[in-house]
Amino acid sequence: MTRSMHHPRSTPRRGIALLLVLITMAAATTLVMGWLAVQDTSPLVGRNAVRTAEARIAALAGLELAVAVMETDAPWRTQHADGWVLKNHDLAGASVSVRLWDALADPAMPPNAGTTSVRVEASAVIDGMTQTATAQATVHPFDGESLGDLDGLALFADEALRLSGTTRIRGWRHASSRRLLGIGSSAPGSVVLHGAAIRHGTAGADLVLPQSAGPNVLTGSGRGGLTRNQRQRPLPDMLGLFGLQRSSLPTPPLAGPTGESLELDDPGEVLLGDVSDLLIDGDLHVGEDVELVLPAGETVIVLGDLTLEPDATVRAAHGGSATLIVVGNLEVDHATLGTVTPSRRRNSRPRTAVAAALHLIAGGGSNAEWSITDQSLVAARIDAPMADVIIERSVIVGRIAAHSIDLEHTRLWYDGSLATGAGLGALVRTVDHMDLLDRRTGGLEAPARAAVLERLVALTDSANVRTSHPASPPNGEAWLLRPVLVEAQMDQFGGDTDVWEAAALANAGEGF
Amino acid sequence: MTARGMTLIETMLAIGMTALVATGISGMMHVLSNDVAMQHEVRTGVVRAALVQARLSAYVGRSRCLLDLESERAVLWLQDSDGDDAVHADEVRWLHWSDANGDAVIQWIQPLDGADLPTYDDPASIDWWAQYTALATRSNVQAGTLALATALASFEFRETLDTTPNQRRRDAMQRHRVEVDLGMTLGTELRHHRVGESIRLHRQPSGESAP
Repeated sequence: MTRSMHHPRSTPRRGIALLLVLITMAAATTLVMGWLAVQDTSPLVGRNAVRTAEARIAALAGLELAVAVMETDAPWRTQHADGWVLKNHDLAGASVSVRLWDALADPAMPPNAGTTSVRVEASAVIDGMTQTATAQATVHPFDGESLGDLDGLALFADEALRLSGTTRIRGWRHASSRRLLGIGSSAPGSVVLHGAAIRHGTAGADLVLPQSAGPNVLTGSGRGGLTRNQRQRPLPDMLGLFGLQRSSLPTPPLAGPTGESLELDDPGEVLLGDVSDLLIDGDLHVGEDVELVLPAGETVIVLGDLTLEPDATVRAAHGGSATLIVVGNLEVDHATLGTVTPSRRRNSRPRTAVAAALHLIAGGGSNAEWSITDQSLVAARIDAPMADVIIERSVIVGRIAAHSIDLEHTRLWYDGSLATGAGLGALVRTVDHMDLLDRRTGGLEAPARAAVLERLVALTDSANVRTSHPASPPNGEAWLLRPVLVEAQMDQFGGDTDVWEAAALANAGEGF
Repeated sequence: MTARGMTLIETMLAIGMTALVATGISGMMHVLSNDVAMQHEVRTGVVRAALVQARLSAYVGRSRCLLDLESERAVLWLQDSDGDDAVHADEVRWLHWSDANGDAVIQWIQPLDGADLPTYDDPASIDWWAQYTALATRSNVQAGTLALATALASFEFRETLDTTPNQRRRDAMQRHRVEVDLGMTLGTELRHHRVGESIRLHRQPSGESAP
């Protein structure tokens, strides 16, 4: 009795402890599982996707803002900090930075006073998420000299243009598919299209006319068979110049022959500098199978006529370019002018040709006659403002500007690489594009288009040059009035597809 | 006489409570396990859809216009490299989904050694897929392929037109927006996501032609 009184029984406490342990374990398990459950990252992943989309759109907003600035008179070309025009600017809930580069500078440089091609890089950051949008923008580069620069036209004739037979005008490589034909005269019948030329030669080409020209400027048997392109306009599409007067070609007339002629009759290669001065006082006669090489980087002047006999060649030294001025007549008969490799079929597209390697100029003050016939090959930029050019059954790579042009059974491969991007061709395309903008939903309204045209006329006034762009501060109406044409093309929106594709090609199509 | 251990009723009570708690924990574990699995699937779906969205945006957002759009394939005019407002073969991207492996891929053509690729005079009249097949087999081009998305149960462009090919292409060239319904098999279930993007600077080919 006494013992049991001093030592109470403890067994019932062990049962309670067991229950307590079980309950505690259950509670702990619940807490642990609950904690695990809240560790789900789905909301974070979703938020991440949203931030990416937001940042991408904010970067696009920055890019569009930069393009808008370029459309104004704001001095963005010079008023920047090493190319940065915006840095950590609050826009659309993001921190946006925009940097401009002169797209034509090598190595890359920020814009300067003469920049017309701009690479725009815009990046936006939201909560540490960065996205980038980039674009290539072209700010129209026209000035008073643009109207005299005909390098953007495949053919330009001051007085008369005649295409007949199986004449075709095509693009040399795919860089020059757009072919512009130009006529300086508004007289009826200045452009004559005959026969298959209308189907094969001018399909897809556009005709640049003076503003004063009427529809009857174009005549010929082919006219009735004009097809229509997808814009439902007759071919060739006739583009006016809104009353702008074209400048003259900058070719000073030279006097005629004053001395002896040079005759090269021994077959083989001859470097002109070895046999004669670069100024030939009389005629230059290149005999059969003679290959006359003009020194690179030099200008050769022939004061008399230039004659190439069958299988003769006149070209610039390999890897270089040369200018050949002919004051008198030119006769090329089954011969080659310029750096060109014929195809196996004589009258077909050459295998290689470098039109930029030879600049052929008619330097006389009165009308000369230039004749290129009998499957001749010419790769050159031809400026002959005082010459009548007749080409029959031959192949030309480059472009031709002359007093009059007559092509019969001839193939002209227009080399678009000759285009400066600031000449008459580019100006015509810009004006044409404005019409497209006008038709596009949300495009330029009529008052805005009128302002743009007025601006364009002012810029192409010969009294204005590129350096005299009006520069008003970006305030007040300057932001509203955006008279400068800027054409932008995106090349990155978020991910860089060019890099992806390069990596995919490098990895033989393994993909990401 | 000393009473040791638990009585029968205590033992049964303890066993009953233990079973009750174990059952509760087991049920809870099951629910949580399912929930975690489902969350994992949702997360996977969101991540994959976001990835497809990012890749689709990168291509569609910078494109100039659509050239063709069918339910499981599309053709993009990605860029105008030479600024002539005309479509050249190397400026085009072909996007399609393969039912066989479930991959959505982008394909393109790149000329080798300055090879000439065609210029398309009238894009609405071009059978772009036949063009791709013809070009990809040429010896002087390199064909590239990039996976836009993999292992999809379905991939379908929305609002495609069931009309003549030329009309369909003309309609595609007018469009500014592309939307795709994606089907993904996650776990045992088929889940659907929708991604889309707009062409930011929409430009159609101006129609000038090559011979």
